[in-house]
Amino acid sequence: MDITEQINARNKLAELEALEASILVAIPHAVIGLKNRRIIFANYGVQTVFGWKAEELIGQRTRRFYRSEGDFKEIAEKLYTTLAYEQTVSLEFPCRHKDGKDIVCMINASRIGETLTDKQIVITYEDITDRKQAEDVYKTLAKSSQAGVYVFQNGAFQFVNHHAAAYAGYGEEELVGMDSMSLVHPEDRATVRKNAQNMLSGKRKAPHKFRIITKNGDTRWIMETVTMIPFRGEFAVLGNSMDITEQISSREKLEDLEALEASMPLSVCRTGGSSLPTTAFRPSSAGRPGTSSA
Amino acid sequence: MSTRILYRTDKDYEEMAKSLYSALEKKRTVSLEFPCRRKDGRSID
Repeated sequence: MDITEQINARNKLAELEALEASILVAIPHAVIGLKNRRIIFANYGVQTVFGWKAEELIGQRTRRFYRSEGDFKEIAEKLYTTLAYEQTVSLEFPCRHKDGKDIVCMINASRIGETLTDKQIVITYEDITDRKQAEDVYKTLAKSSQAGVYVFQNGAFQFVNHHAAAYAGYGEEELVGMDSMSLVHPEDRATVRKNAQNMLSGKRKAPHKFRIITKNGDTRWIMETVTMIPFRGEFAVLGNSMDITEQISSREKLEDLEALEASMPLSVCRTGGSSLPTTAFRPSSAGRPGTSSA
Repeated sequence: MSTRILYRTDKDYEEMAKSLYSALEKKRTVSLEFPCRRKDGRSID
């Protein structure tokens, strides 16, 4: 009897099992398999994330990963309801370490097979407590900053502080989810994209200036720097900005005055036949080299 | 395909391979931080 194919199949299966075991060992997150809400396997990552050894968990419920019975019921409802009609589900959820410390996890769950038969699912838990704390620090700093601060990701505002929202005439929550480029004056969009890309790649250090259109249709000038930060597990752009409309407006008025002054014939400055030094009538000349009024 | 596409340079790729394989000779798992590169060219630290 030729059993070559059987032996080949068995070797292949052994290889796959070894691969699967290595994947589970290499993943730093907690990975568990559930059947009828009981843990049927757990990787070494459960110890890193929750402090429990894998062998302590087999046959147990996941109740010990959560802060309360209420949380346990809530997460079960969310997971199983979604997995009844979708293959995977991801959500952030408060969890609890074996030592009693509260942590925040990014939970990804996937059903085993095409349907939710026997409630067979795989769940991964990534401890994102540090990341959440860093985000809270950004937000605290941004809220107390006198500058306009915002975070945008995938083209949309994720967070906007009071000052940044006020520059554009919006409420903070109104801007969340809005396309950040939609605020930029259409004529400035290409330059803004280019300057921002140069800043993000380190080619440009100086802030850039551009116009925005406010909620009520006014044009305002903004000076901005952007930098890359991690936010909610992905790259995002942190913007720091100032409304420089008044400065621009003052400078334009000054330039207009200087242009007017330059176009004035010197004779205008002569009164009653007595010739006065023209600088006496030119306040904008003060401080210029060679125009000392002393 | 090799994992070279995940790293910034040939040197990084070689360095990573050396670190991984020499560590895995002695133990089952290894963890380290290493700069990588996305398909769009952006570095991931």
